[in-house]
Amino acid sequence: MSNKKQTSLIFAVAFVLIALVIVLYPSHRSQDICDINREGGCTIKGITFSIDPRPVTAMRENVFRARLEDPSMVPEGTDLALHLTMPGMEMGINRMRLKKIGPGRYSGKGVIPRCPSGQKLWRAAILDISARELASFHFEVE
Amino acid sequence: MTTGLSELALSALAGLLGGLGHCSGMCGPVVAAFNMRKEEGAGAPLSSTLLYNAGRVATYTLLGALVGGLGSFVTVVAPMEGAQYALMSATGALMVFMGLSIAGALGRAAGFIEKHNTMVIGAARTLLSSRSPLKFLALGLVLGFLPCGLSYTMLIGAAGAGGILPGALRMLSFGLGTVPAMFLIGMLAGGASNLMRGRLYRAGGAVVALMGIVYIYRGLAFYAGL
Repeated sequence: MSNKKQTSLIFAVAFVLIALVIVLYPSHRSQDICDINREGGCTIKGITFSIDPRPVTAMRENVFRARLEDPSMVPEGTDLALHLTMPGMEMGINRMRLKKIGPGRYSGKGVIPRCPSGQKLWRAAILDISARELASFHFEVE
Repeated sequence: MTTGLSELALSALAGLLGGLGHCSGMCGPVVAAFNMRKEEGAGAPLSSTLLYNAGRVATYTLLGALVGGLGSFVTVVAPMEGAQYALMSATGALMVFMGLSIAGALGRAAGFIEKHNTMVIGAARTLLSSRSPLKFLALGLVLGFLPCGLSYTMLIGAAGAGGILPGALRMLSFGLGTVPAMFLIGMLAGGASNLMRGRLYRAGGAVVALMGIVYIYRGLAFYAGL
C-alpha cells in the first residue's frame, strides 16, 4: 500500500473513531427536563423553581427563585442554597445562596456559564441549611 | 465572602478533580499536540510542559484578579466571550496544521497553505518554527483564555471573593490544581511520541488534526448560535 493510501486510511479510521465518540457521548437527558422558560417555572416535590429574565440564557446575571408550598419544609429564618451542575460534564459546582424574601419565598442572583462543548442541560439542586437536597430540576439553557 | 485557606484548598481540589475529568478532555488534545512534535530546540517535554502550564495559570490568576477586583464575572468575561471562541477556532487551525505535520501530510497541504497564506496559518508557521522554549510560556498565556466551562464556574466564585487579591489567589489555586493532569497528559504524549514509530505516530497526528477540526467547529458554532 502506498504512503498516500496509508495516510488516507489512517485519517479515515481516526475520523470514524472520533465521530463515534461524539455521537455516542452520553447526553444524560432525562425525561423530566423542565421548561425553565415557562411562565411560573417548574414545580417538583412542592418547590417551584424559576429563573428570570426569560428566555433564560447563559453568561449573564440571572435571578433564581424558589417558592415552597409548605414553608415549614425548612427551619424558620434560614436561607436555601442552590447548586448548579452539568450532568455528564465536570463543570464544578456553581453555588449561590437563595435568601429568604418572604414566607416560603427565596431569591438569589447568579450566572450560568456556557459550556464550549455545546451541552446545554443543567441540574439545579435546592438544599436547606443542613445541605439536605430538597429537590432538583433539570433544564436547558441557550 | 472571604478567601480563607479552606476556599483556596477547595479551589485547588476543584482544579485537581476537574483537571482529570474535564481539562484532560477539553484542553488535553492541545497539550498532547504540542508535546507530540518531534523537533529540535523545542526544549525537553518537562520544561515545555512546565512553561506551558505556568503561562496558563498566570492567565487564570490575571482573570481572577480582574473579576475579583470588579466583583463581577459578567462584566469581565461576557464581553470577551466572542474573542475566546475565535481563539478556539484559531487553536483548532493550529492543531490541524500540527496534526498534518505529525502525520507527514503537510507536504501535500503546502500548496493550499501557500495559496491561502492567512494570518492564522502565518502565525502558526512562525510559532512552530520558533526554537525558543519560551514559546510554550507564550502559548500557555494565550491559551489560558480559551473558553472553558470549569474555569468559568471558578471565575464566578472568584468574582464573589471580595477583591483583587482574593480573586487572584482563588484562580491561582485552581490553576495549580489543574497542573498535575495537564502535566501528565503532556508527559504521556511526549513520551508516547518518542516510542511511537511510523504509522502509529502518523495516526496520532491524524487524531490531533481531527481534534483541531472539532475545535474549529466549536468555535464557529458559538457564532452560528448552535
